Amino acid sequence: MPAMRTRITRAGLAAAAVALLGAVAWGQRPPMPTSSERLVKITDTIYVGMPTSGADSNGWIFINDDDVLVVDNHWTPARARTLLANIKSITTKPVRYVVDTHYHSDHAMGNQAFTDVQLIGHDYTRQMLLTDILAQETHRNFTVDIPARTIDTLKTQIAAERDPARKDQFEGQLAIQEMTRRTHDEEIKEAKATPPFITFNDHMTLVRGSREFQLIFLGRAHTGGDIVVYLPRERFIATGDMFGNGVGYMGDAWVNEWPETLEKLRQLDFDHVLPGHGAAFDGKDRIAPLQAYFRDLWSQASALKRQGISAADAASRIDLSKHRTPILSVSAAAGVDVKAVERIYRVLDGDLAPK
Amino acid sequence: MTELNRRQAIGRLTGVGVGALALLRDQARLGAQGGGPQPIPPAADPRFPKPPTWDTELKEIAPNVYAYIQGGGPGRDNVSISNGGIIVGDDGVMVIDALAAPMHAKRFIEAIRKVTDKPFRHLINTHHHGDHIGGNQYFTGADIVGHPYCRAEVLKTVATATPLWAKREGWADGTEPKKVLPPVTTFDGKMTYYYGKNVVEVVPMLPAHTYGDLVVMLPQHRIMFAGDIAFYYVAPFCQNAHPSNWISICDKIDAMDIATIVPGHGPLGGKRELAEMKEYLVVLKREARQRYDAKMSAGAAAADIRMGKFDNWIGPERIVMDTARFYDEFAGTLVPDVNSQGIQRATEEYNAAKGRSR
Repeated sequence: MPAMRTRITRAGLAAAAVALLGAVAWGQRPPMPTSSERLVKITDTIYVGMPTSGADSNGWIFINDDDVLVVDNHWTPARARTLLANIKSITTKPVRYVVDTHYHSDHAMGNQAFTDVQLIGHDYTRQMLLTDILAQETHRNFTVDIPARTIDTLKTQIAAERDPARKDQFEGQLAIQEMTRRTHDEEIKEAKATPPFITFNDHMTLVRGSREFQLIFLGRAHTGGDIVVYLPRERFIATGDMFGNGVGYMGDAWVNEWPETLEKLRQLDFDHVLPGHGAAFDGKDRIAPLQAYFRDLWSQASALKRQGISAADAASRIDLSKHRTPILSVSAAAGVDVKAVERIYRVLDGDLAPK
Repeated sequence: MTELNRRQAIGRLTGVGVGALALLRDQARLGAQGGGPQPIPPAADPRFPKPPTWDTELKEIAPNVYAYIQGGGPGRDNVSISNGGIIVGDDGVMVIDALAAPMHAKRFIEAIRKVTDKPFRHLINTHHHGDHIGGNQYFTGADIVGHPYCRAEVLKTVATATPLWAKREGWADGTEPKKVLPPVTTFDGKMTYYYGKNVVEVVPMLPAHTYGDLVVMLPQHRIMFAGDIAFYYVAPFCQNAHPSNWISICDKIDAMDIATIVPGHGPLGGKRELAEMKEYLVVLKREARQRYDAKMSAGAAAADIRMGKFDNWIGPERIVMDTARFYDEFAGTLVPDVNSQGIQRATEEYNAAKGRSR
């Protein structure tokens, strides 16, 4: 059996970064993606399908001795089928395990595209995927509201832009946004939330040949049931949206508990992080700033709520700019996503029904 | 039964020396009473009735949920006769325990194939003893699920496994390759499997019979597959148990909303039978404690204690290892592993005392 390469290759990291940023030079029209994902090699046995458009998640691919395990699988069944086709292009081994890091539609709406697999997740992920998540605020936020706002902004920018090269660039971006929205809206029609049918509430270990996966619930964070997929021998960890690039969405989060959950993450012995969105990275340096950010946000929001300030007002007054770093990409001015504050208010009120 | 005097009894044990220890270890692996030096079984107690006999059957106890009971009882071969079960889902089968040896497993599979032709998906090992994991290799395609302790214990036996299953009447014909397969899925907390309409919860309850016991529950049907936490009409086997915690776990199960219990050994039953088994442990603990406090040796204590109706159960000589295990607990020396030397010493003392009293 070939030894697994446990260092992320520089080329792998660079390719992943390009996929994330869609890096295009100033004033250059971005090319229309030819596929919904870009397949990026991390090691000989770890790959990722990185979305080329939309607020979609990574699909992590682990090629084991006899089978394949997939962690998260994109926001539509069609995109999951693209992931499957890409897997077929790199291995003849069957996909036997699909793990959902959490219930959000951008991670789990591909579940139904997999047949003859063991679909695994936290108890809470199953519970939520039995609700109508496509009608909920989080799904609508990322697939309706944000794309609409982005498209409006681009149209305004195009109308105001004098430089033809810049105009062309915005028009290219607009074309991608409109294509993404159109294809998503078309592809989501066949989607039916498919909950995991093997669930756990604490810690599950899967030994697949020479590889060991530990599926661990470290505590509530980005949702009420985030899990990480930890490969102790290879020192990799797939973290879903509880730890990765930036702060992430907090509309279903437990901002008060998230820092403690990250503390438990820190105690795991890993080198390489495979996040739910964006490129893989090394190390634990991002944990402390993220913890500080959440603690500050929670404390400011709680104080404003106690003063009777509305969530919308609080969202514009909360100032987290001191946490601004290239990694956390926090706003330079006061203001935070109102969804985060509304959620914090609901948690404080004990109003935990899906919205 | 051969009557042994003290000399013969001791001779049998010490004469084989290291070999006897190896045999005891083998027994530990099999969870069997067979082979090697044995304690003299206590006499039956005529004041109490004999337990019933029961027959082999695959019985549907709820829609798509079956208990597999292997026949046993007085006058039958009960050695390593254990129970299992299956749950049939939309596209596969969950199996609970693989039984002891090729022939047991194959008879089980033959019975399964009469009710479903769906492939095996999961095989739960309720614990690491050979009479529950021996048949693992025959459930092709199933992911084997067990407690981390169970996996660790099974892995320990891989290196010393014989290439073939030893020939033994009713067990194996001597030609079959032996493959020791450990659980590949382990967990802490709780696992839930959704098999068709059936919600199947796999939950550790430990330490009890071992330090890695799992039970399988179907709350909709108030069913529990209890593995060897439940012995019905068969003396509980404390070889590497935590006997006092086992008693507590019986109380915990008694407080649960359960109607049907599939025991690891003995006929299908419920809480009444579990309470009876618990009584064995409670009585033995009380009696053993008195003798421990009076500085009597474990073996002498086991020879002195009368268990009443439990003397009529299958495997009454287990009182020796069970008393030795309680003694380890009283002394604060209990560890998850089998105390083979302690059991051997207790057996020598016990047989010597029994020989004297005859």
